Amino acid sequence: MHDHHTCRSGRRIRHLPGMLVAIVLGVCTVAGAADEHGGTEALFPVRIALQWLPQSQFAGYYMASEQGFYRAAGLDVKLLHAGPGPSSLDFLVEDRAEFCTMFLGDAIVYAREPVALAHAAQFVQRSSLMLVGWKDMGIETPADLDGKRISYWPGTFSIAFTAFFHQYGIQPKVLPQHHSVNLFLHRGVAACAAMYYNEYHRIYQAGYDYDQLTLFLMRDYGLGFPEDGLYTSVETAARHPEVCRALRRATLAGWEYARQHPEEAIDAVLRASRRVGVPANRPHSRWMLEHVLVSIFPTENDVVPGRLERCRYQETVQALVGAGLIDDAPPFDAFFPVALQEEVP
Amino acid sequence: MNGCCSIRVRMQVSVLTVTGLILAAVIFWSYLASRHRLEAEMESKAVSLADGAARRIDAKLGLLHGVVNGMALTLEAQALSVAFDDVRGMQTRCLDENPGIFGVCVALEPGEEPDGWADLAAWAYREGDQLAYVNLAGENDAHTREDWFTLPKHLARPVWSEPYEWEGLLMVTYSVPVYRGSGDRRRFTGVITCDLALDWLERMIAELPLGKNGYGLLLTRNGTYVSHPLPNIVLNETIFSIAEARNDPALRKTGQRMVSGEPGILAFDSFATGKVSWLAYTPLQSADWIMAALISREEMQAAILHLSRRQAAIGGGGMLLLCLAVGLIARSITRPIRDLRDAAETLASGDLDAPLPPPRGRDEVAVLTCRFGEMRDNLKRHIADLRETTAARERMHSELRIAHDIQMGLVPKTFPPFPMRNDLDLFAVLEPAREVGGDFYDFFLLDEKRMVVAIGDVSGKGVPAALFMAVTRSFLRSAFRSDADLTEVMTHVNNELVDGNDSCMFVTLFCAVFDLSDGSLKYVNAGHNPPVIQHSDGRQEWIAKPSGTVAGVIEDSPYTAGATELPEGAVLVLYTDGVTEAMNPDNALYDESRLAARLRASGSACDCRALTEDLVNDIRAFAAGAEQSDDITILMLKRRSAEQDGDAKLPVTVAPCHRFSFENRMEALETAMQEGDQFLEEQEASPKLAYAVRLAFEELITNTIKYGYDNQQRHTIEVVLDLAVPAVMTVTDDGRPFNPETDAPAPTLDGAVEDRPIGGLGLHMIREMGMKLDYCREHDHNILRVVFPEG
Repeated sequence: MHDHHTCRSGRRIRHLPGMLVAIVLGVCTVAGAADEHGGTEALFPVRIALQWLPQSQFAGYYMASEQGFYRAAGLDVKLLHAGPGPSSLDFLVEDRAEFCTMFLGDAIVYAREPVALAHAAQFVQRSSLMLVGWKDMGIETPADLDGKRISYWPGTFSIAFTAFFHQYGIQPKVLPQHHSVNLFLHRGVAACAAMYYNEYHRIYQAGYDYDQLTLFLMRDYGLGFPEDGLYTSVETAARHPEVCRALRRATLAGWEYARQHPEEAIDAVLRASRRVGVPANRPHSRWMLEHVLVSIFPTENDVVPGRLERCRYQETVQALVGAGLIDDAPPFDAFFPVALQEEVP
Repeated sequence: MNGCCSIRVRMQVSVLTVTGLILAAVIFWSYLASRHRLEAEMESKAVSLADGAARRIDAKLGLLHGVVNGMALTLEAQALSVAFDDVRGMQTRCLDENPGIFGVCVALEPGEEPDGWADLAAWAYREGDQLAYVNLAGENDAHTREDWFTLPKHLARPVWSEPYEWEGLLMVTYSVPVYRGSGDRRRFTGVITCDLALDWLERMIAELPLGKNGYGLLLTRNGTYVSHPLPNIVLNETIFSIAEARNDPALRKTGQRMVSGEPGILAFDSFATGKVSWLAYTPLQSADWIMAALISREEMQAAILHLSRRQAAIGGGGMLLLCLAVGLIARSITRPIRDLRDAAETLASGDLDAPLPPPRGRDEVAVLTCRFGEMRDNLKRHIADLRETTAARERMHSELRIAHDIQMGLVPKTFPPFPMRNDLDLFAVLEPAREVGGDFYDFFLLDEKRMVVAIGDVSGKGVPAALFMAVTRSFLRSAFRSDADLTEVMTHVNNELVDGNDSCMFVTLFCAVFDLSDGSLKYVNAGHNPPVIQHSDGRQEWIAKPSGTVAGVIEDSPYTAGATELPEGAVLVLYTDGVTEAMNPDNALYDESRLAARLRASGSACDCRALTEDLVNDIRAFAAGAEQSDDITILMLKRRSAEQDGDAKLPVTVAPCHRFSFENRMEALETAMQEGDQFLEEQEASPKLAYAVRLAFEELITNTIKYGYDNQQRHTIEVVLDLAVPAVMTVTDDGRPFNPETDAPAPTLDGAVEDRPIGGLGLHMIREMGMKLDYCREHDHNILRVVFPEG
């Protein structure tokens, strides 16, 4: 007895029935992987744990797999999905995957414990994190949030929100947000956390027009931090740096392909969703793909797709320290090993 | 006049057009009315179906309400100080007693569990036939992160979850928050939940009688489909995601209306069936869901169209029959009419005896045929009558013409009447108003010195007057033959006229005896217009007295003679009332005054012909086109300088002229011919002309001498040879009347005369040479003019 809500993009905590789901997912994914071109000629096996259930957020990986970019790079990649159960980091920790995807913030927090992490690629450069409020509950400006009931996800998401509240000197009543925005839809809270590419559109698909909502995009307030990135253990990074680089390259190529062939990418996403029984519809997948692509290939000239910039790393570390989530963080070159820092063409 | 104009076609076309229009109008109206009605029915059917389904779902869901609320109350009442086993037992009982319920869960807020409670989220559920149990809290109080726990907790009210899938089953969960304490110390303790499998829902909705292309829908407040006919829609799509995928803002608006919580109905283009449909929706009372029923309008429209087509077919068949019937009726009318038409054509061509079609029946056409027959018979009769009448009239006309000729023959018309006398100038004119009239004039020589002139006007007009006039003239002439006394003559004429005058006609008569030697004029007037003498000095003398009664009325009416003198150069003018009573278009009369004026103006210097013509022209000018109402008769007599008897002076002519006068003896003819030769030689006449003259002279005179006289007395034959262009020879003799032109006797009142054949060769030659003969008889003289051809 539980709901599957594909609104959550952060980490999950294990959950017994969730294990059942995860097993089902694993089986499906393996079965899916078996659909791909058989005959592996000395391909390096890699298992990537994606941080949530199938959705357009991972379209690049699907395309890289389906279009054979991984194979061409000499990699035999299996894609695994986390969900409400064990998180993608848990996969890495329990040696069920060699690579996993995570938010930068989470990676920095867990950089040393339980496993020493090495950063392999930074895909989502631009933050999509935001707060959404009801206009008809009086939320028009940040100041209106003061004293109101709002909800957001616990964890590293709070670094942006806390800074935001501090910036405006407001003190809302915070409730934890979990897998859905139903509390928000029931008007239980005046504002809730959302990803621009996901929950925001879900609210639209629940019948509420955009002009009924007020957005507070964290990046507009200087509080946007890089999000999805690819991580592995420090050992794997030391032993197979070329695999890391190849993975980054192939995945980027997959994202590029998804950008060129969005409908094909959406088809793959829907197929993956249906296989697992995750509710999905084409408009939502399209919306998510569009906005994830924009955050992966931003229009600012000084951003190289797939690469983590030192300054961004430092910013995030400072914000985390400021929020009291960490005391310190590894130096950049330890976090992002030099061997993995090859120029991305 | 066939084809498009025929009666049958016209009737058929007009009847069919009208009935066709009516039929079309009726079908169209009935189509619209049925459609309208049926649409209304469909609407209400959709509404009631949606309503009914909603109530049934409510009933089932309401069960859950009761069960869970009951349990919550129970636990709350006990402030949750209940043994865990009791809770388990309650769950088991609940599941046993409510087969519709899939699972029951009692989940507590961490820290609120009573002592001895092992599991924080105890969930009992069905697994096949068995009951199973699991602690949903897991290791990390996972239940506290589930919507079924957090929503009732934060909303502080029972909450229905969104539908979800559990092991292939569509499920929904109802959670009720449970509290402990009261007043300020009231705090959230946990939730009681109940799960419902929705397979019966699918079945129920599928069984709704929504017709072909109709279906049922169930939506949550978020627009998520709980039930939909298409696969893969449920749970994956919301009505808004479908609107987004189809780029259909109208659908999004429809969805927003539907989830607004108010019932409604609207026309809807279903994307599931592609048909235009009625969409009726109503919210459930037990949950935040909306039940919708769709009924295809096309189905209804198809049914109505089918009906309309049937109607049209029946109507069309009816119209065909109608066409036939009308054609038959038309034929029954047009066939006899056509027969009649053919008969009429035959009749019109003149064949009045052609048979007519027999009348059939008693309708208007039969009556027409009868009347037509009657008309034909009448026509025949009329034509026959007309023919008779026309023939009679023609006969009368020709007789009138002959009568006219006869009457004209009665009045002397040759002027000058006595060419050998040049002591008198006489001219007369008679213009009858009709073919024949009652006016007459007459003049003749009593002896060498005396002549009679007379003028008269019979009462009335036309043939009766003409007959009376003829009688009067003959009486007058015969009276003078026996006695020259005027009064005697008049008395005699009067008495003769009175005798046998049944028609009471009368005649006005003026009769005078004029002595040419001394100009004395004796006269008697029987009621006639007074004549007038225009003297050469301009004086006018009206002969008004004495005047007696009109003749022919009173026997032995007395008459007195008058006497006056007609000097030389004076003109005696006799006229009838056709002159003085001539009318112009304004009905003014010519009158004696105008007559006097005219005579005065003309004077007496000119000859009578000119004077008379002047007067006639004046009268005509006066009449100015008005119809002549009465005969116009004028006689003018003028006395010239006296001449010696017997040796009349030659009339003054421009052309050379010679006059012969000889006895009716062949020797005299010889002499005259020599004389003529000599004259022709002197005048240097052409040889051709001379020859012609000799021939004619000899032939004609010889004939006259030989056959013209009954007795042996000596008669004088007079010939005037006028060498004008053309040359004219006038032969005058007083022998028997004879016209050399014709073999038939000339019309005369003196009795029948036998033919007098001329030498055939002579006449032939005369004609061959181009000579024209002009004969007339006057005053007992034959006057023959021979016109010689020119050149």
